[in-house]
Amino acid sequence: MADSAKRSDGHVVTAILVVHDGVTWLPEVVASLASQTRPLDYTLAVNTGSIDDSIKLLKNARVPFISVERDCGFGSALAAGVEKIPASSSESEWLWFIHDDCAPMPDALAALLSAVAERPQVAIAGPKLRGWYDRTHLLEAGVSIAGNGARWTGLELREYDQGQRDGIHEVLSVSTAGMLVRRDVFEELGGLDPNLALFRDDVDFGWRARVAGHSVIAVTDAVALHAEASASERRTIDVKSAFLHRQLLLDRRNAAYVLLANSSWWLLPWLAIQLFGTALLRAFGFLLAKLPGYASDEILAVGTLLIHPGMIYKARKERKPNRLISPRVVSAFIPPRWSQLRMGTLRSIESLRQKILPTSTSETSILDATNEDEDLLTPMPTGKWRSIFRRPEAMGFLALLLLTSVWSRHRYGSLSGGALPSSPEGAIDLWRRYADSWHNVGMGSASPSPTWIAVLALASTIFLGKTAFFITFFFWIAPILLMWSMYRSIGRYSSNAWLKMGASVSYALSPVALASINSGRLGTLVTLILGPQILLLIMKTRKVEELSWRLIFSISLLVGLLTSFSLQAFLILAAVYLLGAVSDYLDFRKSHEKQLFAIRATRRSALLITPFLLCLPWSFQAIVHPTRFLLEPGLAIAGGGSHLAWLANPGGPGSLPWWAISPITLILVVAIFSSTKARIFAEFGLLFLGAGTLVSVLAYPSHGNSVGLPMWAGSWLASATITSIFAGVVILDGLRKRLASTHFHYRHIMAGLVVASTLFYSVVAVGWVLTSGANSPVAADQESVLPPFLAVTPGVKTLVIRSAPGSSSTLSFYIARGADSMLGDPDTAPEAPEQVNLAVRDIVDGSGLTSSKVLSSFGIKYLFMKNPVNRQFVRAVDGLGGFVRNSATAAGIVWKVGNISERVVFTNKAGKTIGIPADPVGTRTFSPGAGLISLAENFDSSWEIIQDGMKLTRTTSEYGLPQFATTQEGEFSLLHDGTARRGWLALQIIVLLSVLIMATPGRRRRSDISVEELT
Amino acid sequence: MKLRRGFYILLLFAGVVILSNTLNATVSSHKYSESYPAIACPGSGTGVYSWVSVATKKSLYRKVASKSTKFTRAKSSTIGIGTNPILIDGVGVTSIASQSVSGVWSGSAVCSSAQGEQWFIGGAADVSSKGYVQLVNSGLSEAIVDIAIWSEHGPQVGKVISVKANSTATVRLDALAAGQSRLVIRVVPRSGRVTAFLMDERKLGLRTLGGDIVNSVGAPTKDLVITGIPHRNDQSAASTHVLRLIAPGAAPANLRVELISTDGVFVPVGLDSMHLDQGIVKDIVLKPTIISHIISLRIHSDQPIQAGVYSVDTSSGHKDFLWSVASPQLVPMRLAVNSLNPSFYFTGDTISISLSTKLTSGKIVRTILKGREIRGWNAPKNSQTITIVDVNPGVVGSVIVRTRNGIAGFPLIPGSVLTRASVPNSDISVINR
Repeated sequence: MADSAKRSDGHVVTAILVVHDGVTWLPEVVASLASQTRPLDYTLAVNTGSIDDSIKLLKNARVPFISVERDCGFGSALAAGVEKIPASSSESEWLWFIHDDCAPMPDALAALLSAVAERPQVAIAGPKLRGWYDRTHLLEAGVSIAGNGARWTGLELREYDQGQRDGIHEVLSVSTAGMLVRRDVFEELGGLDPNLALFRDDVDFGWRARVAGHSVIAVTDAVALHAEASASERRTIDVKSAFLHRQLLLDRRNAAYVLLANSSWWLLPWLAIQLFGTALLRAFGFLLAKLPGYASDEILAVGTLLIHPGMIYKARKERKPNRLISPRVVSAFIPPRWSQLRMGTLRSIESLRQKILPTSTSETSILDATNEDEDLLTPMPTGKWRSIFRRPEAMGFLALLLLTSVWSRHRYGSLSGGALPSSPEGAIDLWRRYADSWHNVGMGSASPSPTWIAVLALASTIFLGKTAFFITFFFWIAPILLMWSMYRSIGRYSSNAWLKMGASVSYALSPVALASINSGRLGTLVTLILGPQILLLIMKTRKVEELSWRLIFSISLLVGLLTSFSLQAFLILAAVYLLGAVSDYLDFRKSHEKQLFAIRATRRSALLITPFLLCLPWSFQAIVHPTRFLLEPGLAIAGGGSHLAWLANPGGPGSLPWWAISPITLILVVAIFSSTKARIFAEFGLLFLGAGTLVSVLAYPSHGNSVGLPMWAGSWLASATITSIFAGVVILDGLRKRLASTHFHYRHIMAGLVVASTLFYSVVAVGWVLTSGANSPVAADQESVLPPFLAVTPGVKTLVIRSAPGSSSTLSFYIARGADSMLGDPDTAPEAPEQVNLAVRDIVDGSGLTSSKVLSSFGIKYLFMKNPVNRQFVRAVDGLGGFVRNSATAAGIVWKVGNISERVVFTNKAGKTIGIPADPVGTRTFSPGAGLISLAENFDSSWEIIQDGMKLTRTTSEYGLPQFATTQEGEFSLLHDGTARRGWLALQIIVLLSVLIMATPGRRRRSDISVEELT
Repeated sequence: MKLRRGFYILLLFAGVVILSNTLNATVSSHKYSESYPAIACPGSGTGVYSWVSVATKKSLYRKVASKSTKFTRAKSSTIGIGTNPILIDGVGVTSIASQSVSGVWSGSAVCSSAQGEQWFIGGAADVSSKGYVQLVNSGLSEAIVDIAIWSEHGPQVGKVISVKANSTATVRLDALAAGQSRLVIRVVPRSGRVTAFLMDERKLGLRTLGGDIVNSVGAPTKDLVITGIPHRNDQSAASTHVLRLIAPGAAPANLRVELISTDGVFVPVGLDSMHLDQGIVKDIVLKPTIISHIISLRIHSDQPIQAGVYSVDTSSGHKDFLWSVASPQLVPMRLAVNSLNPSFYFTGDTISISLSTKLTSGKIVRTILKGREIRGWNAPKNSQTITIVDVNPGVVGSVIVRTRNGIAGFPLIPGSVLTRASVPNSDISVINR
């Protein structure tokens, strides 16, 4: 560098332009360098084997250049360039790195030099980067790296540059595009790391400069336009060290490298875990976005680095001499985790908001005539807040919110009662219940947990693991959700907002909705919430061949969610699909279009089978036991029977009285003679109502109940209610106008009847909800059935016997395991063994001299009669041997069952038995000798005992319980082998992931996104 | 076409609704277990001969307070009882326990299964009393029994007695209410399967005054009928009866007593509207001058009361007493009467009873009894069982057994009652709040 080149500012600046197939941007870049207000002292281009016209262009522009290998990295190219630049005598010699897709604005260099002139400690300065095409798009103003390796700019997505980030800021690093660096510092630090051939070399260099005691600043007065050609996959990654030459792979690998090479050593294990975890999560996300290549990049990037620890070790060693101050100096520039979380959340919310409430375009335009006389100091009219009360949806929402708040006055707290069992303590308990292969309910069950348990667990996890809170919130918000769901769905059938809102509120207060909330029917509630949305989607399947596969899997996913709560609802949808299939077949018979028929059949099959597969293996049980198609989650509580069901009132505890007749049936009957679309809804509605009426007559032992109770036809009636509301809206939309324009006839009478009955029902329902309707079976913080002292030992079995409400002579019993029934228990509850049934019967009739022996053989330790006690039963128990009264309190009477009643019992060859302490499911314990080990759990082929590495032979005892023969004393492990359960879960996860991937919109590769969109 | 489809769907819907509501008949979801619980018969004191009539030789029984809890065959139509009570597998036949001291007294009691509340109207705890309450715990768990006592001085301090499993406990009357001469006792098991019996035996010095087993009755009622009270009106030994009354509730009772006999129905002097203080046991002496040798009393009160009649009768030249207690409405039942020679007495406005008697020879004799107000009937000799096949409502009955040892009697109450219990069903909702 010649001394003559030194300018009046005392700096000598050499621009090094690295060129790699950059002919697209190069003319503007060269021009921008030439037009700097503070001219460059020297310019050198380094061509990395460009195969386009870049060299020709450089020659024409008379830019001196050198050439290096095509696979040479960015850092190596710079190093080669710096080597060629002669040393200057100036004390302030600067290198300005320019990418071939980066064009600095004319005053950029001047601004940079001005900033560094006032800050002698600054070794690196960088401009503000804006998009090449959208020049208001702020790309960077300094850069850092997050703990998970993400490139962190601190900017929002597509942030508009309006000067909000302006100023001179201390940063960790700046991009190499436009980076101004003191030559002595550059050489002292050894230049860019050659291991970072491309990407993240800037962050690494800044980090190293920082720990060497230098400052790095972003100067926003200096602006450069950047096309980010490599990052946006506009050009190939040709550098030598790039494995597979994939952009994302190299970027993620280099990010990990930077973190591991520069961070404090004691952070390395945590960083390694964090990087790997993030890679897995991101890979999952890319899989969902149908970008398996990117997903593999994520895993490979971390994997290829972690298998080369020597490289990290070497890099850390090389950095050590220049690490003059603590690496903690950079911690101020590493974004805290909450910043990333906040940014991610804001982006998600914004994206959601845009979908739900798209930004309305302004009604005013610059073309609008302006009022010249308008006083600029007069505030602009922004609309009165009171106008909200003129909006029906707001009014409906507020009214329903008030109503549900009063109605729920006994439901603020942990809910249970009706069909709803108690909630476990946390989401983790629900997850465990879902994953477990053995359930400690009654005498134990290996039935698969229903899928809705996993859905609840997921929702509870979102609610910070508070299952009880989530359930309470769900039952409180349910009417609002119902209203919202119906309002959203009904929109295409009416533009009358008041009619839509009235229909939606009526839907939220329909008999089936009220009964479901009051009696804790999760399945029916989910049917009611999702039903209107699904109905709209199902209507689209009439022309199933026109549906995209993504929509088909989206529908399947939604139906799968519904199926997980209600197989009854699935049955309804399956019937609708089958009707569609029949229609397809009839079409085929006419048209003989085999291909069309095949397409339709394939798609309808996918619609039918996918939701079922999503609920495996629970749904598979319904194939084996078809009656499960008629069951809903929770305890078996009787419905009201057919005399209420045909009026769309499911009946049972917590439902409206019979005289509160809703207009649902009337609307369906009126609509069936309509000539509008309402007739179609009415036809389906009447079929659903009829089927529901028929189902409500059926009685079948289920869900831990050994006698048949009239079935709950909730989902059938919910479907009838939905179709009735749709039919009603179609009829009433514009009816007033039509009736006014016609002579009086039967339509006037029918309309009057519908309106009158709706008004009558609305008044009655609201009145009932505000008064006696609040005294629902589902209530908060109800007293536990079991006395607390019976729950001290986990899993201890107590035979609870109780009189039926209102009939002290009718008794029911069940085996409790130290706690009341929990969510999911009834759905997996086994029937009581026949021997236990007989033993209890014998106690009741006073002949059960051996009852205590039988009960103790089943591991039952206590007999508890809940108050109010049945005196005859109490006398019978007192009269029989083997039961010793333990207590008689206000809760009830407790007898201790005589004999050994441990869960695991050892019997030696002489017939002497001793109880062996054991945990509730699997356990490691001790056998005192040769003999039989009996387990007081229902027999299941997955029960195993392993002693000295050998499985003991499993047989059944005289009571049908599992027992194992042991030939020696010693420790043994009792376990329930969950391999099959894990296999099913794996299959379910695979199906779920596949459907999710198919249903989610595919994300574009960066190379598929137009460069204009990116920058 | 489309409207027609709608019409068909509507028709289908209507059909389904009608069908469903037809099918929706109330079906009980509960099963019931029917059984005859074992009945307990009292053990006897020393020097007392005791036996039980059973239906057949195959009847099963076991001794209470013995090690074995196995039932064995009777091998005879009567089972001799020692000091230990016995438990009989009654299977629907009511057995009668009889006790006697040769030439001194005789008494009978209905063997019954455990009852919730037993009232004994009779007995005394004065110097003449040798009586006691026998508590039979036929269950295999320890029992706790509350005993409440009323006397002429009002309610006495009650006792709580613990009875070990499969054993008996005897509580002397003078230990319950020493010195009291008019007793009413209530026994309520707090826990356990307990049957109580009251033995009322009296001696005055060396002179025996007779004895009887006081049969228990149920809870107090406002209307009760005591039938089969033996009466004699010959000059040598005119009967005197003592009507014992109590209103155990919180309020005094006003009552009316009617005397029913073959001579007619009348209200004895002073008993048309009688006041009875609450909690005080009152004895009223009745000495009706009527020819009939059997009388009944019908009592109507405005408050629940209990009543019993103490009668002295002469049998084979010596006196014995008998406690007659109120009988509940007669229901079809089967009674084992082997070796008893019982006399049946029925009271009711209209009496129509169909009886079937099985003799020891195996022969069956059918009898139809009809009458008004009061009707007696002597069972054929060598009767083994007597079955009340049918009876019209409002009839009560009792039995008197006269032997050379004395007179005994008992109300016609089925001791072995078919127990219909709802078989509990397994239902997990019992462990839901």
